[in-house]
Amino acid sequence: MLEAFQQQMQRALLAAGGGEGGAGIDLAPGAVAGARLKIYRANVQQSLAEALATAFPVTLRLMGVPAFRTAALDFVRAHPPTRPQLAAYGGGFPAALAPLDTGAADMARLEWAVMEAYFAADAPVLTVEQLTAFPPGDYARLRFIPHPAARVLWLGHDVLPLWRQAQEDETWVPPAPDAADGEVLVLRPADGIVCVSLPPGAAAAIQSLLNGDMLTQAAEAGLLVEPKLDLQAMLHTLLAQGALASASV
Amino acid sequence: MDTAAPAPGATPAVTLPRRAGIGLRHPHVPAFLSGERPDVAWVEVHSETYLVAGGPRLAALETIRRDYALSCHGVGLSLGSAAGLDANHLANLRQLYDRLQPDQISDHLAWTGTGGAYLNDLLPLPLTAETRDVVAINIAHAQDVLGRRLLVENPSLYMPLILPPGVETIPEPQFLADLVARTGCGLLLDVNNVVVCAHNLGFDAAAYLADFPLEAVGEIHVAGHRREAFAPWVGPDAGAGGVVLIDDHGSRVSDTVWDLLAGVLSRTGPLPVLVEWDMDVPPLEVLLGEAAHAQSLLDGVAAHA
Repeated sequence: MLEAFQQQMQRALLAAGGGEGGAGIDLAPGAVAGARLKIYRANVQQSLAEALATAFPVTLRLMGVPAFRTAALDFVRAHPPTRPQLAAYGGGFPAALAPLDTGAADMARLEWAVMEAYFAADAPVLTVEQLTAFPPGDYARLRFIPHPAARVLWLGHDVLPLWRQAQEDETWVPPAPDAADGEVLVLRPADGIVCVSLPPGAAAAIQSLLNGDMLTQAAEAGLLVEPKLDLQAMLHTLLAQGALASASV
Repeated sequence: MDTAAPAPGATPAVTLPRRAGIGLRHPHVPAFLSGERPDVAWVEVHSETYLVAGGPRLAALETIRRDYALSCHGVGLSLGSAAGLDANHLANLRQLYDRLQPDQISDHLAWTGTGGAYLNDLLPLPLTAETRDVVAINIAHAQDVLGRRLLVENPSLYMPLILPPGVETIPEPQFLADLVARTGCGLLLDVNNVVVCAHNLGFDAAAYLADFPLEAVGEIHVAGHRREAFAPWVGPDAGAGGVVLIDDHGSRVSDTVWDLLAGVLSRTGPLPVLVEWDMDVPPLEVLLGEAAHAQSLLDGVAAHA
């Protein structure tokens, strides 16, 4: 009886619209149970939609409350969390937004990368001194362990300037982002989040490094995209912003 | 012979300070990190909020934990799940608890989802013999994997469950006493939840508390609730359910709850009492004021002990 009850009630709690009262729950018949069930349904759906609003605050401002709310409730009903960790809930939301609003979806991808970076594991940061301790002959064969917070994004809209301004001014409503390819590195040096706008080719090279490829392979991946890619400047950025945890040959 | 579980009715150890504590919420974390040492004996956090790999949130709690006794209060074990507990979640909690070394851990007499879903709400259980078997096994499972004794909290309820003819409902205080006897768990008595349930389901709060197995209580919660005559956010016909008390932890503790707390403490003597405030979180001073009121009630019973 318990298992059937839980399956019935879960179906009712994730149902769309005003709900069908207690219909379908054997242990909750009648008008009172039907009305009271709506309290639980509202608690479940609204609290999960609020969790998405917390994870995607700039996307919410970009879309406006009504459009975001509709999209969030649809997502909650179709994809409730699969574990009791709200900080990990919403990874699929950007993809769910893509058919509705590609600009908002890109903003959501950036915000999700920021969320993941914020809660990523702690790790030491590779220093310039540690790197220069390797003999120059080893450089080409170096492989890196990335800092767990480091993430590379390929975006189709210029959302990073809007995201930055939204951090400065919590009431500012961003305009629709321009369609423009952009590559962003998200990091967590010390306690804060840093988003770095990358020059062409750098995203491919950095992702290659984060995948554990050798420095030469990463250089090839970047130069394939952009022959003029400044590898030294890129490596400097990675070290300065704490993107790498350690190096080995 | 298995002697892991204490004998039925054994008085469990109270592991938190027998003083007032507060729920630690994000807006107040900077005050706790500033070195000004807010004057409260202990803090409680929601365990699942800290189930993250790393970063500043967890680091802040580790810092605060050095100065304060800590209770880790779970909202996601789903002790009432017919399908059993989530092994991954248990393993994650074990790791967190080993890291934080809380003075006490707890969760609820509730379920939070089935088939791998987490619905972010504490959902009602039919209090049958079948459910008692399920919850007792789940508590034993949790205590075994977590390596710690669990306190189980009485839930807040909104919806009456009607059992089929011939299936008996076990009164909640008896149900909880049975869980204590079977698993050696302790209880977390939420006085606000008693008031909320008594109103919503139509029973007498004082009679419920008279039957409650107070000897197993290791912690007490108090919080605010709100009255909903009709809830526009769930549709105009929700009023058919009548006036409902919503356990939103979003206001000051009501006089009814304070009075019942005083009555409980006069029977138990001082216990750890937590003031919870989760929605519309007020300035820290307001929350500390509520905790000071709880402390004055604790001081009152200590003086008479």
